[in-house]
Amino acid sequence: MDNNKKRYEILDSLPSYGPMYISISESGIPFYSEGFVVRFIKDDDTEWVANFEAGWGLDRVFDYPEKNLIVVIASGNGYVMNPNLEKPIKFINSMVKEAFQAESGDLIFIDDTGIEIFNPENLDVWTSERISWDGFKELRFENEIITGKSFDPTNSIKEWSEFSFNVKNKEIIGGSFRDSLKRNSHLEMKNRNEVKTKKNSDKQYDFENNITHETIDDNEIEQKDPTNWKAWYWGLMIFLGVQIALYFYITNLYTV
Amino acid sequence: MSLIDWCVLLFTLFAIVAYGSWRTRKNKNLESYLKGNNSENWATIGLSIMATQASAITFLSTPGQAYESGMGFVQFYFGLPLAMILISVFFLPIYYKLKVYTAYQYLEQRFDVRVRAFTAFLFLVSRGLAAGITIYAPAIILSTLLDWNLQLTCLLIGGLVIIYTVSGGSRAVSLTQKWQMTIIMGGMFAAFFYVLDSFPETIGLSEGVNIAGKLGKMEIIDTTFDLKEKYTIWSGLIAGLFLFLSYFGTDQSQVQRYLGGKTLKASRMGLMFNGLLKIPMQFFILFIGAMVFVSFQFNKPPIIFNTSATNVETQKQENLVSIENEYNTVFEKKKEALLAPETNTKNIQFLQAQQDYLRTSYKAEMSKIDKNYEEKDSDYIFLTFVLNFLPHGLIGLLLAVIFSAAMSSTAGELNALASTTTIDFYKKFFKDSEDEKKDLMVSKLLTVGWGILAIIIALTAGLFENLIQLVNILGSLFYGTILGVFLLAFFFKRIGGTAAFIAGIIGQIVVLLFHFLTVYEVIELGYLLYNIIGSGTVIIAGVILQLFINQNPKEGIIT
Repeated sequence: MDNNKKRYEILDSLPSYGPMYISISESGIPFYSEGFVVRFIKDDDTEWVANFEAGWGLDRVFDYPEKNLIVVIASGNGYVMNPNLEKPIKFINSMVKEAFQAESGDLIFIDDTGIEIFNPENLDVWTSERISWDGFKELRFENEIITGKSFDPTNSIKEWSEFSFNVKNKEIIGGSFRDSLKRNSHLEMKNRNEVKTKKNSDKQYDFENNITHETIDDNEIEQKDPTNWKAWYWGLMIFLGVQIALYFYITNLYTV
Repeated sequence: MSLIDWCVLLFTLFAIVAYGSWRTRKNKNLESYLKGNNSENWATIGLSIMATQASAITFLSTPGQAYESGMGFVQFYFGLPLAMILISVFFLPIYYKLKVYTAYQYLEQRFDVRVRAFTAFLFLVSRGLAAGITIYAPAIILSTLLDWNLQLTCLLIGGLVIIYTVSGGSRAVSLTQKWQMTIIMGGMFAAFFYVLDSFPETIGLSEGVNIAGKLGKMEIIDTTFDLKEKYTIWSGLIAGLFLFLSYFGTDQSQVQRYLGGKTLKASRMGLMFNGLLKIPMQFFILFIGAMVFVSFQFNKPPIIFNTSATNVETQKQENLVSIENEYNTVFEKKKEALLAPETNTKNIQFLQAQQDYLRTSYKAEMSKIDKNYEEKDSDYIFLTFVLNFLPHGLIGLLLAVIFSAAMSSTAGELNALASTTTIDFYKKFFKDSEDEKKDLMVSKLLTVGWGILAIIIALTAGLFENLIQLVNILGSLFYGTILGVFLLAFFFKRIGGTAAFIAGIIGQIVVLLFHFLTVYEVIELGYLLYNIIGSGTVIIAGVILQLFINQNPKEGIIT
């Protein structure tokens, strides 16, 4: 195969003439709005136009001629294509915000919560644990290590916390999600997208100050707090009523 | 002031400053500086909440209010217990769940950054001005009656507050407020017993109350439904509820006090503590004022309490001398009538009306001579009594009470202003710093900055008709709008950020419009109603705007 041969072209819009474009989506269901448009050139030099259903994020194309694969990121949606086939081989992710290519040729996709690595050799996708609550910034890829800042909307003081990811050994250091769990040791990961309260945990350890705090998780405290707040509230209102009645009495007593 | 008074005053003030600075010397990060590491118990929170609200103005101005207009002012606080309950049920759990540092952070999570910045800005404007008044109010009165230098008095109060607020942050404020409140209440009880002691031998507490009642000072409840009346049971229960919901639920100077609680329960108990004690405390302070009035039925009061314009030239004015002579005669007649075995109530009321008229005439004459003379002198009454009738040592303690009250509320305000500027503006818009030490330093510098600004406002302020009213008017101008935005956030889940933001601006414009119409006497409206007008306008405008704005509220919000 001629590795220098042009195998695709990104188009600004759907072509107004020529053969009908082919819709490419994760579900396979045809759609009719304009997405990310790419013209593919098959091995026999015939062409076809793919209209990729767009997601939310990056537009980019990576070519692997030696594997006869083209990876298309259509506004965040990742499709693994063979230019000779008019349907995707694999769908990768729908929220790709940044992509890097490792020395090995692996593709590293970053969405709002973590990292995925696509191996073009065996088409496997490795998914990291959750690194960020919601978004990354200042991402850099140097010496096979990704660094940047991850967002934590629950941390009022430090909304962006640093993290690094080693592509070779897949080691993660820092990240807002881990920081958040460290701060709230009564919480644990339920799955990649959710956290849950640990059972039998009513304390949290403050690593920085070397002291144990009671958690201030509202649900737990509400459950454990034996105070009859309704009685307090009614008591307070009755006390107010008694005071007003007393003031009425005094006023009537001395009304001139 | 004697040497012993000076010793008591200076010892009390420096002990408080040293205690606050020493107990919090280990503050090393922003969280402990702004939230005190969530370490306060309910009693500290409760006292701290009360001390932040009870400024020096409360102790100077409130007795004067009862002296002049009776005890009806207590109705102003009737909405407070219900506000404490609503905050305890709706506001507190949300603040705790989101672990916010300032109330306005919640608004960004619920709406967007514009709404957060807008409400935080309104808070900074209103509280920044109020911090200046909180220093100015006691300073002008102390400087007038004790012949102190006004500028130095402002600098002393402001300077002492800055020292311990900067060194210890939120925890220093709460810890010192606990002791300040103890001193304040101790001083007020002592003052009360000396007021009773100043009565003639034949007059006891019950006779004193009787005299106050006959002269119209014990009319506490006003049931008339009149929008022009400032203090009625309805304005207290309804408009007061809105004011206190806004003040305690959304004003960072109060939110910061209860966010420092160990647990949600501690914070709730602190609010309940305030709900239980606030009205009796205000009643007690007003009652002291009513008893001072009774005392001045037997101990001749000066014809005017603000003596700032009383100089040799005015004393020589013949008409002033004749009014004062007549005033003295009426006073003696009234005293005689009150001490007579059988009192003629109508005669006493007539003589009191005559005495009030002569006092008003004298002040009008004074205004003709000196155009800058301030006729409203009710803020000077209590301190005049303290200086003339209390024993040495106790005068020093009462002055320490006034300084303590000024310092405690100013400290709470500076701490809250610095927190809001740090969290809602500096860290949000200008600097995404990773360096905690630097953030802490910035927060301390902002505390100093706000302190200096408050002192500058104090040095340039002018006397208002009644200082406690000025502070409440200032709050009412902005609280309604802020509360409206928070109510939209809590109870109107379909409202989005754009609608809330525009509704907030509309609400603020409407409140300012009503205020100017009232100031220029186009309409007559009690200022407490601004709170209802502001929040009502924001809610109505928000709901209507949302119908026309194609924007969904944030998904996944924690409410």
